[in-house]
Amino acid sequence: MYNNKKKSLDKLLSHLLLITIGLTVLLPVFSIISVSLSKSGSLKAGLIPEHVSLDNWKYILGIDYVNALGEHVVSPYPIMTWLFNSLKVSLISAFLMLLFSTTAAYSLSRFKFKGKDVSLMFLMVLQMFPNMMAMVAFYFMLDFIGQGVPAFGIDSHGGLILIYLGGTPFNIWLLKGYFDTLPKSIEESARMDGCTHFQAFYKIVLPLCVPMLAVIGLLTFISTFSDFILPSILLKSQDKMTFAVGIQIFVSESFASRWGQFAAASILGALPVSLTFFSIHRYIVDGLSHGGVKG
Amino acid sequence: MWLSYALIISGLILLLVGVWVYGLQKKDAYKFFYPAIVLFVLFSLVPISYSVYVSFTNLKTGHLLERKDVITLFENEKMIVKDSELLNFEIYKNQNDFLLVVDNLSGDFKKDDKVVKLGSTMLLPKGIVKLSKGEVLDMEDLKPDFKIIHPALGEYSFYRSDMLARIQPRYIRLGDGLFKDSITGQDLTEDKEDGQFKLAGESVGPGYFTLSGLKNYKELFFDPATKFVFLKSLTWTFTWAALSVLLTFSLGAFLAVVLNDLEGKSKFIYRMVFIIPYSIPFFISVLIFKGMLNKDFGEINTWLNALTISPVPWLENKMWAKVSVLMVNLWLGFPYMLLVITGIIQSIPKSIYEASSLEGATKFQNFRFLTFPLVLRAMVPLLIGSFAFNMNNFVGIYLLTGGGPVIPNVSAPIGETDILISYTYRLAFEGAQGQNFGMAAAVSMLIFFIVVILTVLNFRVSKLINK
Repeated sequence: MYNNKKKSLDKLLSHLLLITIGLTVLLPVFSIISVSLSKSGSLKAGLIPEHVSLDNWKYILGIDYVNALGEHVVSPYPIMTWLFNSLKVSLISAFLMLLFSTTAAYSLSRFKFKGKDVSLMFLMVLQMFPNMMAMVAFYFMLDFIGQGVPAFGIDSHGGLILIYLGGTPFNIWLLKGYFDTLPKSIEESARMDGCTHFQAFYKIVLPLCVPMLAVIGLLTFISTFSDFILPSILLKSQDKMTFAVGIQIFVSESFASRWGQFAAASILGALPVSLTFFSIHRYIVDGLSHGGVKG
Repeated sequence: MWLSYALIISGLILLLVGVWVYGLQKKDAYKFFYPAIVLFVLFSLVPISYSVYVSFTNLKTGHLLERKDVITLFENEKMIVKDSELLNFEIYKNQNDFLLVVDNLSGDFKKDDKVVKLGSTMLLPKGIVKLSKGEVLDMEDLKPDFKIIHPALGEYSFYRSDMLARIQPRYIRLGDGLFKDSITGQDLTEDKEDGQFKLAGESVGPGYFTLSGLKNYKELFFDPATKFVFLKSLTWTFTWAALSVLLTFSLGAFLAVVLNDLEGKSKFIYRMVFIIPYSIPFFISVLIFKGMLNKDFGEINTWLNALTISPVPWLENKMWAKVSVLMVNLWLGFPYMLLVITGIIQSIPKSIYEASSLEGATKFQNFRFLTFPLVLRAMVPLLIGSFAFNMNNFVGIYLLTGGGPVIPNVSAPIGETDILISYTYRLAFEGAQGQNFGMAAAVSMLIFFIVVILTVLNFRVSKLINK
């Protein structure tokens, strides 16, 4: 009897504790949602806004609205363009990175060739070097490339994507691990039937890997979308900025007066990543225990 | 320049290798591997080696030009001849013709382009447009040797964007990099180590960039002022990374254990709530916290105020700023630990708990002697990885405090909460005294060494554990 009581008291306590921590986690989220729906431009909105208003949302979507003084307001900041830029850069990077790293990983996993061990060592060392540490070099490199090909220079999305592609070693490493788990017999039978290696890879192996490739692609998408340091160095003009850089400058100029608009923008900006995350979070959990991924 | 050579040479080699791989040899392995090689070499290997190179140079604001460009600047430096008249001028454009209109003409000039007196502006043909200042400067760049010649007074050339004057070179060339200043009559001296020309001990003109050997590294470790901020930042980087790992691991492990004992739906709901911070891009969460921690307007001080606690200078005071970055990073980082540790706990076979409960072990004893050691053992490599990640957690610091608050009496671009990577960023792209790329590259080399050591350590430990 006593034991049962103690058990349920234990349970109650642990629930209380979990709820407290849960609330601490949710508080900023609720607060931001509330601020984004509030009318006043101040930082204080309480957890439920007094007057629900869509002004902040209209502002970030570039729709004109009438403010408290009766003036028509249209945002001079291309917030939606920033979001579009981020989506563009991170989707293209993720796609190209998959393209390049899949074949390389396959080659490392399936073939024996001269220089394989060296390549593996090389990959190991390269993926240790967080690419932001070479920021000075990237800046001058794009500056130089831009003199010849402006589409890949400083302040271009092409240039930024090129730099992200330098991060392939990490993906190759992940994918090689995955290919290693696939039995070789899959392609061998196809090869017996007269397929070339490339056909076997393209027609048999790739379709099998689609889920894994999707997960790695989405992880790349998330990490590229969330990157701040490289776009902040490499992009200069306002309409080229990615969401991370644009919104940081936008809100840092005046936290007090732009808090509501920032709140709306941050919800919109977080959505693509959060939705992606929850759609693949099972795979992320598996991947996490193998190391890698942010943390 | 080094970088352009490196890019062009490696590009050419890659091209040749490409031709060989796809045209001349038959091995599929290389065909599959080649595209990735191109990316590595161009966008990992070249930049990394360039960073190494830059760390041994004096590349910074005021030393961005090459030596030959600086010499050209000296050769082109003009001065007005004594007693020269200064003439105002304007340039007009009429389709493809240019018309130079000069003020104060006291005689006839030889006509190179068409020249008229300023007084006759009224008679200019219709449809003619006056060039703006910027366009005039472009014209001057296009025709540096443009002259109009006055029969009595001699040659007049452009001087600044709005004058014509009789000019002469300021520095007389005596040889490669040897100049004589025609004003003072003294020779220029060249400090090759610093990449700077000097006149009577004072720097003249822009410096050029040059190999400076170990100078940047020596400055980091031996120059008292730089050493002070560098060591301070190094200490804080380690403290920050260690505390971040400790805090996130503790909370994550605690929650994982508590959640593991729950059953049914509530477990699932709690877990979903707890991983929310991990699903939001870090830069967004950090900026949200920056607003919420604002001393005057932020929600957190408002809530504290409701509890009659006076406002806390979260981001302004050095102690509170450190507390803030750590707390925010705890919020961001504990879900990772929770997810990973949950995975580890679930992989522990249930039978060992059954065995221990037969021995009469309490829940706490189970945790203390079974769960915790097993989790810790599996976690060691991930903890080292997390330490390395946080060492370079730029967003967690820079977006929240900007590295601040400022350290009193320090001129280097560094604040109380700056970690090495944000120090690097500020050295290269933000410094109040200009951008110091050489020093930034040197600091990032040191970060690299620390990361390599951690990674090697990680391998050793993983191997030991697997044994």
